[in-house]
Amino acid sequence: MKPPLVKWGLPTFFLFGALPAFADAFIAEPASDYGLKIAGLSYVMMWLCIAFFVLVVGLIAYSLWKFRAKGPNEEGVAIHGHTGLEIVWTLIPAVIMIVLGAVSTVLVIDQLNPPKKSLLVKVTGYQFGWDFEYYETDAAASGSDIETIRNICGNPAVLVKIKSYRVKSVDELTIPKDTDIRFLTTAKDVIHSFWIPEFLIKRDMVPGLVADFWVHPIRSGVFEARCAALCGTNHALMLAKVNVVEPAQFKTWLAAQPGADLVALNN
Amino acid sequence: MSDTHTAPHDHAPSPYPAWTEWLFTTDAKKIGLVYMFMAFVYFFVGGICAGGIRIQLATPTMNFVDGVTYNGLVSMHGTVMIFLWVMPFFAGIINFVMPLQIGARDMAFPRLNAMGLWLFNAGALVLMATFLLGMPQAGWTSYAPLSIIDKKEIGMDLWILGIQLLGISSIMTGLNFVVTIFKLRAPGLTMFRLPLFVWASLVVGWLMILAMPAIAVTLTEVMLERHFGFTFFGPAHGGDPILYQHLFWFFGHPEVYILIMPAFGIVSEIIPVFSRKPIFGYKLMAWSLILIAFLSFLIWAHHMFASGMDPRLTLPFMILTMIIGVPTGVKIFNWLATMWRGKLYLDTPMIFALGFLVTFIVGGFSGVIVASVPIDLHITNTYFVVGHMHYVMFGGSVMAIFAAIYFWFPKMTGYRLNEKLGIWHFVFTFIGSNLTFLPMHWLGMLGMQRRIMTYNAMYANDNLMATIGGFIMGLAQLILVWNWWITMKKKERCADNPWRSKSLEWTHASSPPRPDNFEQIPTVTSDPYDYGLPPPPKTAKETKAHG
Repeated sequence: MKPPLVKWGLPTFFLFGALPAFADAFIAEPASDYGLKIAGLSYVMMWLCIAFFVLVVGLIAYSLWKFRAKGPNEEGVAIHGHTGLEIVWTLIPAVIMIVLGAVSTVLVIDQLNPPKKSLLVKVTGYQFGWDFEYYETDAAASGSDIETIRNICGNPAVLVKIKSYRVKSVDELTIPKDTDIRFLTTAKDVIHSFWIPEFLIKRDMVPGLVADFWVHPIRSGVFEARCAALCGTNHALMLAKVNVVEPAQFKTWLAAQPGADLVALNN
Repeated sequence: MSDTHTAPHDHAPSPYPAWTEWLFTTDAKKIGLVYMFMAFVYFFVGGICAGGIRIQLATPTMNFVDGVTYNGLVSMHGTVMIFLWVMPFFAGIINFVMPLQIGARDMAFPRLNAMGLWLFNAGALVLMATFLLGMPQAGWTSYAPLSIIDKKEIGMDLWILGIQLLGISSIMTGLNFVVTIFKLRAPGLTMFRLPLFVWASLVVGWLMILAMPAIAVTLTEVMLERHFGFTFFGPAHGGDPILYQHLFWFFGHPEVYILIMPAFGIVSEIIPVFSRKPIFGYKLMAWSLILIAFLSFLIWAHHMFASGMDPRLTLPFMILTMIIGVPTGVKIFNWLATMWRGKLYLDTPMIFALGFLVTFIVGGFSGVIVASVPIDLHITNTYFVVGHMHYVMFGGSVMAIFAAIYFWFPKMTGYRLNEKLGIWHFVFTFIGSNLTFLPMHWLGMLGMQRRIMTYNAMYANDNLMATIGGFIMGLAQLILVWNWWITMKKKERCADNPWRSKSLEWTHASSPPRPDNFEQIPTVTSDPYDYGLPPPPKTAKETKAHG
């Protein structure tokens, strides 16, 4: 299913394998496979930046040591430029940008191709709380069709294709591990932003618009969803508890919710 | 302007007291000094806002201010630092230095220049009024619909009015820069003989002319929507909140370059003087300014990767953003190459210029990281971005402003700021700013979102560090004030050209310059940055390449 570029691109994250010891120190510990890739790319970038920083500061320090004037009225050498050198240091950043751009594009395309069958969670933000509604796409429906998904919020005609758990929870999200989960984000009043740091991806929740992203959790645990867009006085307190649980546990949790029968929405 | 040698206000008996000269002047130098002085005052206003934010964030359970005050401080800190500190300071230093550097007696439109200053002061006072009447709540970006829903919020209306006035002022000022540089250059001063600071002024002028109308229109629409029943951005009546972001950042991203280009120009002036060497790759330095300015109009949506706009559109914006990193990287390497084989003098302007290099590259690197769409989706709207942006704005722009203050202070006053105090100012500013802004990078990566007044206890240590650093940095600025005070008191005249600079404002004008700048308009016969001794024969072809 995945384009070959992804298969080819993934080994570029090999550095991440060497760095889990640092994961806690600098980047939220990833809880999804997509998050692992982002953390890996971030670490590659971080080390690259540190290497260049050391190079630049090293050159400054060397110049200060080597070329410091010893008395008044000294003059340097009147070198006006060097075309070859300037071409070299135009090309070096250009090559780095091309590589970074290519890897980033692969990851963007990854997000553009969500799995056909997934648990849908519609997240609605408002001042200052969250509603979570659970749906499951019918395997037969073209769940990857982005327009279909977006229509959940608008056009009832397409809802036939969607099964709902008819479960709504407020300020607490429960999702299963090892499952493809697709979040549809929207808002009621002003712009909010749905961010679970351990998934290393966020999406704004914009009133009048439904955006989406998907994750595949690989680690169970209790996390926190945070509103990342300034939304008013209690912006800092707009938090939701996120439970990532074993799939079996999720079924149990779901069954315990009021009105949790798996029913088609249009009946 | 006057081509005679008599200054317009010389000796003519004025019916008004002397201080009114500062109000009614059309002399670019005086206008520049007023801009810089007012900017410096507002620097402390913005700093006090930052102090309030950092006290509130010192611990996760701090209760220093309430939510409304906190959001007000966040909004006003950003607004004041951008519109009332960095922008007017650069407007001031360009007003003072640029006409001198091109051998002009004044700006092309002195009255328009004065009008710009008046509008700036008016806009600034309107913004200051929000401290009394209620501060805006929606951040310096004022995203709709948050900026629209509360129609009774007077702070928001004042903010819009203030920014409108400042925007008109900036358009006038930018127009003046461009026309002055195109029309009033001294004989023989061709475009590729201009000092890079003048190139930066030209580019900034264009950015102001082209970007400011976007914010003027956008904020007019917000005003119409708030009070006159129009709908542009509010979704309740079919408006589009994403449209606001596109319009805002079409102004907002060039704005970022309005705030950094003059810094590039300042550093390009200072490094050759104190390395006693010509700037390395002059033409590439000038072209990279032009290229960066052009590209800055094409990358606005990189502020919006997570906004819900079509994710496919993020790719071209990411690629263009990464391209802008290339000319920026070239500038860094050319500055380093300028120092190579020079004779370095470590006076305070040079120390601040080196401080600029070290901290600005951190901001540049983190800029490349946020440019990557998938990484950005994690760290946008977090403290990583706050850290990145402060490394660029403080470590870049403000470091360069300090470099400019120490460098051109003798030109403005005839006195030289105390070197020892200057070095202490640098040391505490450098340590304080890095303590404040460095931890923000991993705070954001770990999960701390921006513009929050309380946070998860796991981020407590790094936030306390940032608060301590912030206070070191803030108090360090008092050293500069003290330095200024004692230097002005001592009145120890320095040489007209204490740095042995070879640009026109030092070689052909006294310090401070006479009201009409030059006794005689100089004729320029050589390239700028005529420093250094001819290289030994084996490298002769390198100079030939430059021509």
